[in-house]
Amino acid sequence: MRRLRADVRDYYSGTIERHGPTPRGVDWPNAASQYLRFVQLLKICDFDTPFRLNDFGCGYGALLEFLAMRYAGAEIAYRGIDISAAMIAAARERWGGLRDTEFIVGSRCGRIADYAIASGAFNVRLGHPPADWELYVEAILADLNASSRIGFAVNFMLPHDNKTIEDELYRSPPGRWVTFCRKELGCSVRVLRDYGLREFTLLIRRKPPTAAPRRAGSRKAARRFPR
Amino acid sequence: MGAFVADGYVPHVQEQLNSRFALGDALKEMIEFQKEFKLFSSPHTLRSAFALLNIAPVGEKDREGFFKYLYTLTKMKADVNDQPSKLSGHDQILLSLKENLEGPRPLPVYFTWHPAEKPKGIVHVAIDQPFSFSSKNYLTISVPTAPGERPKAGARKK
Repeated sequence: MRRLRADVRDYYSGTIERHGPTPRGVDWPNAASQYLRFVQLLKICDFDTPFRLNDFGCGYGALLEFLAMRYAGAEIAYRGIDISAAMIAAARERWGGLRDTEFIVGSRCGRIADYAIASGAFNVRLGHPPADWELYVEAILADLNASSRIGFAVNFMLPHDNKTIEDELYRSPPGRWVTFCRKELGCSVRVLRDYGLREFTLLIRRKPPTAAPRRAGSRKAARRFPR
Repeated sequence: MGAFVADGYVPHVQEQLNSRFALGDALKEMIEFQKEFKLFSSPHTLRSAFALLNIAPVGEKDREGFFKYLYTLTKMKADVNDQPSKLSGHDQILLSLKENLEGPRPLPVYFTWHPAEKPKGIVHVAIDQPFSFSSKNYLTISVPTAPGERPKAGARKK
C-alpha cells in the first residue's frame, strides 16, 4: 500500500508540475467536465445549513472555485486533503487566506466533518493490479466513512462497452462498490449515472444509530414513578 | 483564421472542436453541459464556452489569437441553410449550438472553414452531410478564413 500511495503522489505531483493549477493539472480534460462532476458529488450536501466539508484528493482546490460560483452564500468550513505536497502548495498559493479554509498533505481526512467528497480519486491505478487497487479504494472509503458525520460522495469510471480495461486506469460497474458501502460500511447508497460522463457517482449516507433497546421493566418503572 | 492563429494550429483546433461534438459519448457530454451550465447561452460567449471546454491552440499567442478571432465573428454576418440571419456570425453559432443541444434529437456538429467573402466574411450554418463516406446528418458550421501574415506554427515562442 505504501508503494502504491507513493506512486499516486508522484503521478499527481507530475501533472501539477506539467500543467499548473488547471483542470489538466489534476488530469481532467476541461473545467466543464470537472464542474459537472462537482454538481453530482455535491448532491450529498444540504446547502441550507452551514456545514463542514472534507475534500479528499482536493488537488489545487478547484472545488472552491465551483462553490464560489454556484453556492456563493453557503457557509462551508472546508478542508482540502491531498497526498501530493505539490498540489497542496498550489492550493495554498491560490486560496491561502480564505476564511474557514485549510489544506493538508495526507492520505486521510484527519478530522470529522459533516460531509466528504472525493472526485476522481480512484481512476488512475498506474498499472497496479486491480485487487491491490481495490484494497486501496476500500481503505479510502472506510476513512471517508469514519470521518463523515452525515455522508460522503465519490465517483468511479464505468467500463467501456466491448473494450478491455486500460492498465493505467481503474473502471468498475457500480455493484462492486454499492455492495461494499452497504455491507461493509453499513451505509445507504444512491447511485447517480447517465449524467453525460462515462462514470457514476455514489451518494453514501451513514445510517443513524438505532435507538438502544428498552430494558425490560423500564415501562413499568415509568408507571411506578409518574411525573 | 490565418492572421490570428498560425496555420499549423488551425486544423488542430478544428480537430478539438469536432471531437468535442462527435457522435457518442462526446455529444452526450455536451448535451449535459448545456443542460447544467447553459454553456451556449447568454451571458456566455464563444470565448468563455470554449475556454471552459479547453478548446484552443496550445501556445499562448495562438490561444489569444483564437479568442480574438472568435470576437471578430461578432462583426460578421451569418446565414442558416442559405437564408440570411439577423444575428451576427458569433451569436448565430451560439444560438445554433444551443438549439441543437437542447433539441429533441441533437446532431453531432462539424466545424469547418471556407475562404472569407468580401468585404466581410459570412458564417454558414446548415444541416448537412459533410462526409462523402457517411449519410449521417451534422449541424455544420463553416467560418470564414483568409491568409494572414503570421509566422508558421512552432516558429514562435509558446
